[in-house]
Amino acid sequence: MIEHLEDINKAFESKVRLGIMSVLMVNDEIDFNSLKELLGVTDGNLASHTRALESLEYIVVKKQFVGRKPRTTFARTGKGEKAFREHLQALESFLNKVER
Amino acid sequence: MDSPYIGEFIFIYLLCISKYFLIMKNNEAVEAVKEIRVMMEKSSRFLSFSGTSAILIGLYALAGAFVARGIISPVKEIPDEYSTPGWITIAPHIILVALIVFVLSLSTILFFSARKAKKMNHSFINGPAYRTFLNFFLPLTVGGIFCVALLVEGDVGIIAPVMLLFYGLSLINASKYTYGNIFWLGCSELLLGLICAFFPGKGLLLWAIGFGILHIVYGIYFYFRIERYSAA
Repeated sequence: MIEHLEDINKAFESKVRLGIMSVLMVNDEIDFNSLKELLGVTDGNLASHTRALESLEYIVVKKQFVGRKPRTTFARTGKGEKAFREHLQALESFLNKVER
Repeated sequence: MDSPYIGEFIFIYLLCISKYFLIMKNNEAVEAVKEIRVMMEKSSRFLSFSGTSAILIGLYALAGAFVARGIISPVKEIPDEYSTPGWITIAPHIILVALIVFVLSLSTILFFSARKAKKMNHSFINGPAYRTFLNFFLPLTVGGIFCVALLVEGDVGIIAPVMLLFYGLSLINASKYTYGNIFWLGCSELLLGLICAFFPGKGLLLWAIGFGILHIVYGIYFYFRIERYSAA
């Protein structure tokens, strides 16, 4: 049982970070406000979680200007995708183990 | 002298803790999987659809078909002759009825979707909504223009099947970005469209079934199986 728990990624223990990665797995990119609305979190909260994921190189942040307004979008990286898949697999095998 | 018992107690104590730990971890894992699924669905599919609007659209279509039957019946005596003076005079009336049904249906869908989005606390115009509408209206617009061409050319008999077929294809195309079960509504429309293509005289009847009855049935199914369930 312990060996399965080891694969569970600490970066995804937070519900917000797990949500961010889930959204980015099915959308190639998403902007800050849509993500904030989906997850139901505050600006500061989302910013700190995206910064954490960015420093792990799980997501990339793009900042552009649309007219005069800044627009921040996020996208997953290959590394982030791999980490998320492994996390999912660990969750799955852990649940299978418990059920048996 | 109690040492063996103490050892056993410690063992049971540890067993309880690990069991508790396991159950907690299990709940956490189940929660995590649930969260992942919800976020993936919510961010990639247009979910502010209301079953009530489907029922209303079905009713509009039935009313439209009823009115159209009243307009057509006086000239029904001459089949396969659509360029007769009788047909040319009633054609604008039928087009007007069809346009009213279309505009009413579209505004009903938009109104109910916007209301549901507001109730569910997310914005009505988002990525998935945009993708759903684009993928729905692309084939539908092509079909609409094609119907205009058929009308101009006088091939009025196959307009009903063409409408059903293009509508079915539009639904199937949009189903990837909204509720998946719309796929089956699309397939039913396709089946009706094909049947309709082989029975030209029954166009209006099959049109009424496809756009009227099917929408009502789907709306009721949607209301009881999906809306009720997700609200609870």
